[in-house]
Amino acid sequence: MTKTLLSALLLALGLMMAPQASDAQARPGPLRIEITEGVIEPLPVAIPPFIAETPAALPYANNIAAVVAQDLEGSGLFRAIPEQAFISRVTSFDSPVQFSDWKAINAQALVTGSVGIAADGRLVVKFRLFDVFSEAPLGAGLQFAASQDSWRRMAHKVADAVYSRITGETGYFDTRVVFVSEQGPKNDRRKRLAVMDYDGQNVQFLTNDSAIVLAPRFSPDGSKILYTSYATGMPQITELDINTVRSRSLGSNANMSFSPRFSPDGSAVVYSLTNGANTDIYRLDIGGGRQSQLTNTPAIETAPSFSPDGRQIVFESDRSGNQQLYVMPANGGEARRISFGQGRYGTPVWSPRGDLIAFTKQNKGRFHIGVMRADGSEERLLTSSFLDEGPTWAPNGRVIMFTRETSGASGAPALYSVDISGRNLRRVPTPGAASDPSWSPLLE
Amino acid sequence: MLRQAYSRMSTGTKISGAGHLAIILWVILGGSFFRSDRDSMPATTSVTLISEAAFEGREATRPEVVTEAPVALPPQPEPDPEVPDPVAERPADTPPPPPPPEPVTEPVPEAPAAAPEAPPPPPPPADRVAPVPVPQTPEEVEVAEETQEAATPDGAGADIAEPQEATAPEAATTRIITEATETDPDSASEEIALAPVSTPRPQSRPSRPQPEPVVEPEPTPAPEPEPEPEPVTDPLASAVADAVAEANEAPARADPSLPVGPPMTASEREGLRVAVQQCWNIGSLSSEAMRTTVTLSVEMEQDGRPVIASIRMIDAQGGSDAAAQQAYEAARRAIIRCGARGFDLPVEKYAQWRDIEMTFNPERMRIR
Repeated sequence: MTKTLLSALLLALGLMMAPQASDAQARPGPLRIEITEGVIEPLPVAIPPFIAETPAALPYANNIAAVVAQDLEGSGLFRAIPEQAFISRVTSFDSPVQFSDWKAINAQALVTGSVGIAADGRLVVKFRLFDVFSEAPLGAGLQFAASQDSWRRMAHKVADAVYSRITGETGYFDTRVVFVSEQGPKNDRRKRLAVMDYDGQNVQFLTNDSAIVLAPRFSPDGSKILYTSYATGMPQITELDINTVRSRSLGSNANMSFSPRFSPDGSAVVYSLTNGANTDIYRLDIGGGRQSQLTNTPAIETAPSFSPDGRQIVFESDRSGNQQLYVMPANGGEARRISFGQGRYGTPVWSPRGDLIAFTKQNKGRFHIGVMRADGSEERLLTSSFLDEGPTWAPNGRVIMFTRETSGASGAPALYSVDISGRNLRRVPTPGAASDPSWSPLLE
Repeated sequence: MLRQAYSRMSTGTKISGAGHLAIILWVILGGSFFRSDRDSMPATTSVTLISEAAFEGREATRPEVVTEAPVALPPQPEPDPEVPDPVAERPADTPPPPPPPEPVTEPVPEAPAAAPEAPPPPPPPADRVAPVPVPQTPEEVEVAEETQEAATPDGAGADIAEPQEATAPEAATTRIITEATETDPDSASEEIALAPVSTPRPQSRPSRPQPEPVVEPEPTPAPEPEPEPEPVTDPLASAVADAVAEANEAPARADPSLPVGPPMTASEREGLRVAVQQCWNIGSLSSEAMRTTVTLSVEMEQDGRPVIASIRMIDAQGGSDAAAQQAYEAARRAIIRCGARGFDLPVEKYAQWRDIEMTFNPERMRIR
């Protein structure tokens, strides 16, 4: 009896399991393929003119869309599709998108926007980003409001949002660059500090040309600039407030101090100090004014740069008989060499991401801008020219700006940018000769 | 009376029971104790003894050049190499085939047999990095996704087609060429050093393999058959198994709209892979997303188009969630874009590719 019951139970159980088994059999396992080869090319994006909600907003609408396109194209990661190729016209910000028309021109992303002027006179910019082939928005729409003078910044904000949503990295378009503007013949250059938008627009001069200025560096919050001034006839570190355009000398050393850089939290400054024929690296706590010596060797040690976490400092030194890169604890201590290639290495700058260190390399009569990992591995040279030097990182750690100087009596320095992959080498427009760029953090 | 009857019945029952028990025991245990040893007898192969003269006569008529190793077993039909299951395995009890003769006894120089060629010129700088290099197009040719020849009206027909401009795909290289790479003197010297220093001479003719002394092939001992496991003839288990099998077969037969066809070939799989990779653009991905491998599952229509709503990420490795999301979206765009017109897949094998899992691994692209 028990056996019969057991068998009946087994039979029922088997029949219950049968449908699942049959599904699995009727539907074979998925076909599996692995794709390891793709293409690396700019993403086609359509940016039709933004809708002007009022006639007064029309010039802003056209200009903002153009700046967004310039920003994205300038990154080298996007390709703006020419307006002549558009099939659809966006006539209203809220009208449904005809995705088929954008697919037909191979637009993979679509940016739509509108510009209006609020009752208080402020400019209001709205935008949406769509994944054309998915026929879905990429994130929620955003709206910015600012004075009409700030229309370029709003365009940069839109471009940053688009860049971030597609690449997964923060943008770098709403940023500024401080640099040394140079005028005059090569043997009598007049140098002034200047600041501009990352794309060369809105140039403002911060100092006059009465004294030589060198190596400006932004503070972490972008409100101050450190630079080396020869106003007293001897190089001294000077701090300048961008808003008030007032400067003050840091420290009162009778010795030469130069090559300053802020710590990541802005509370300290590292710099080089020359004592006799010896140059070492020092640290100055801005709040307390306490100065400490970080290196103490007979070699020339300069160009210190903090790691983003503030725990380490990379610098250049010729203690091995040749100019190389070293890393030491932020409070000084034993330094380890990280560069071992041919040639000389200098001006190291730690990436905001912390993964890479950019540097200048001189080898066989050529100058290069390169990157290596923080341990010195995976060195890659990105550029090569008569004179490339002084790299500075975009706040997202993807782009490097540097100085390139041409040879000859008529040679002049200019600013260039390059992607860390080595692609998208571009000249940054400046009103004249320019050198020593320093990239600001992303503006608030 | 009753006791006597009981005693008589008991005796008869005992006899009957003993007899049945003996039969049952014989049925159960007979296979072990009384089984014939015939099954375990080694197989024999008849061997014909021939005289030495007959053997030499056979040798004289043998072909001089032996190009293939003698095969002891009759040739088996080669399994389709693209079919993972069933795996073509040599039976464990089959002697391995002898190694093929090595035709070349001299060390072969590594230099190419063909005439030496100049080192390939460095690829031209191009913004596009793709698996297949595309040369720069002439300036007068428009860049488009599809290559087409210029068409001009010939005037022969009544319907004169409009002139069509020639187009060509965008120039592409297979790796990122930085400015430093282009002008690196070290790389140039390496290329020069790698160039052949002299014209490679033609290879010497491979020596003809000496015919091995042929001996009468050893009779292959027949593999000793594995003793078949004694089938368990549980009627209840059989009934359950039969019922499940019958239930399983019924729906499969009832769904004729899913053609299975022969197994997918390598070229069919490769065609799909190539079609997807052409649209997998990772140029706008973050560095972290470039280190992330994602696997997507997608259900396909019978016309080869993906069901967009079915695309989902089933695995991600190597990056954060945000990076995985970016990598997923790039992979998703690739499937949708290149699948918009339908992938070229065999309809008769629809059941095999109705569900596809695609793994997008950017490792090789990251280091370019």
